[in-house]
Amino acid sequence: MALLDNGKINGRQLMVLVFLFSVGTTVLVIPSGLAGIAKQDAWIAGLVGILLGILIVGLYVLLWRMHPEKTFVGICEAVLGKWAGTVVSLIYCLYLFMLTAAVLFYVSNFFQIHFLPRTPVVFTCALFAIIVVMGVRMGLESIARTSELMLPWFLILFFVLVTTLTPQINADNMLPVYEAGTKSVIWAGIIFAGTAYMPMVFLFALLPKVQDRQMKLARLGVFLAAAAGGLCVVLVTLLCVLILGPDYTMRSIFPSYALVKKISIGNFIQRIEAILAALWFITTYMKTTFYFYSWVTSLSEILRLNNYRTLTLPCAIIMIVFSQIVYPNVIYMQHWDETVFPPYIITIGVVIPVVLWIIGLMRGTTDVSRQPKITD
Amino acid sequence: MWTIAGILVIAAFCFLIEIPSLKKFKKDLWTFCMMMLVAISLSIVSARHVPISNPLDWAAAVFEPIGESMKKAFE
Repeated sequence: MALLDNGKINGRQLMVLVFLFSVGTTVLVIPSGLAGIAKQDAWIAGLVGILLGILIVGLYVLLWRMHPEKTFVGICEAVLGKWAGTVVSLIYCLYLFMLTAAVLFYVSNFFQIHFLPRTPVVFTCALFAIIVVMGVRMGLESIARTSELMLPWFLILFFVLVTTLTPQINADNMLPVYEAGTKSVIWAGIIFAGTAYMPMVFLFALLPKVQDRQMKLARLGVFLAAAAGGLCVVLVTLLCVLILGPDYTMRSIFPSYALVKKISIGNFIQRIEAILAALWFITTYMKTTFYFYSWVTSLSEILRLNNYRTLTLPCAIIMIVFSQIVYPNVIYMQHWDETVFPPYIITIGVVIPVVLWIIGLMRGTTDVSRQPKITD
Repeated sequence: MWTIAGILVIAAFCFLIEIPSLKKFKKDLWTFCMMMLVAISLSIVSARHVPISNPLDWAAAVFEPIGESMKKAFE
C-alpha cells in the first residue's frame, strides 16, 4: 500500500468536518431550488431532505463499518476485484474532478456578481484554488484543525444572522402550509439530500484516517453533525420564505444573500451581508478542499503513487481551467443543477454504495474473519 | 502572448517546487511530468479561446433523459 497521508483525525474533528461539509455550498444555493419546486413549503421539503439524508449517512456508516481501514478506492478494489474496482474508482475520480471545478465556479460566480465585478474571473478562481491547494498539501490534520478553529466563527456569525433577521419575519408568507403537495415536497427533499448529503460519499477518502478511542461515538457523531448542518440550511430557507416570500426566493440566484441585505436594526446596523459571505466562504472552503483532497488522494491511490502531493499542483491547474468551462452561463447552470444533477449524484451517492454494501454482505463472512489478521 | 508567458512562468514555478522531492521516486516523477504537460496544454488551449469539451455535457448526455423523467414523475 502506498503511503498517502499519515495524518489522523479524531471523532470530534470528523463531526466538525461533516457539519461544515453539509452546510457547504448548500446554504447559498439550495433555498432557491427548494422554493422553485415546493414554493412556501420549501422548509418542509428541507426537513424531508434531512430525513433522507439521515438514511444516506446511515448507508455510508454501514459501509464504513464494513471496511474501516479502506478508502473508497480500496473498498471498490476489495469488493469488485481489480479491474471492475479500478473502473468504478476512475468514475469516482471523474465525478470529483467535475464537482471540484463546479464548486470553484460557484465561488467565482458569486464573487464576480457581488464583490469583484471587474476582476477577471480566472484570478478569483486562482486565488481560491491557491488556498485550497495549500490546505491539501499540508495534509489532513491541518485541515481538520483549521475546521475546528473556523467552527466558532461560523456559529457566531450564524447566530448573529438569525437573531438580527427575526424582527423582519412576516408569518403570512408561510401560508397556506403544505399547498405544494406530497410529490413536490419529496422531489425537493431529494434535491436537498442530493446537494447536502450525497456528496458525503466523497468523505470516504478520509474515513480510514479517523482514530478515536470510541469509534461508536464517532459514528454517532457523524449523524448528529449531518442533521445539525441540515437544520442550519433549513433555518436559512425558512427565513428566506418568511422574509422574502416564496416568489422572490425562487427568482433569485443567491436568495440567502438577498435575505441578509434586509437586515436593518434601527436604520443603523445595515448592509452586513458580508457576514453571510464570510460564513459561506468558510463552509465552501471546506467543501472544495475535501473534493480536491479526495480527488487527489483517490487518483494517487489508483496510480499507486508514493505521495498524493505530487498530483496537487497539476490537478489544481486543470481544476482552474475547467472551472472556466463547466458552466458556460447561469441558465445552463440552473438547468443542469435541476435536471441532470439529481440522477447524476444519486448514481454515485446511493446506487454504487448500495451495490458495494450488498456485494460486501454476500461475501461478508470470509472477509470479516480475515480482516482482523490484516489490520493487526 | 502575455497570458501564455504567464502560464509558462507558473508551470516553471510548479516544477521548481515539486521536482526536488520527486527525484527518488521515478514513477511519481513521470506522473507529475505527464500531468503537468496535460495541465499546461489545457491552459494554453483555453487561453487561446479554443473551445474545450465540457465534462458536464458528457454527464448531461447520460443523465438528462433520466432527470427529465424523474421530474415528470414528481410533478
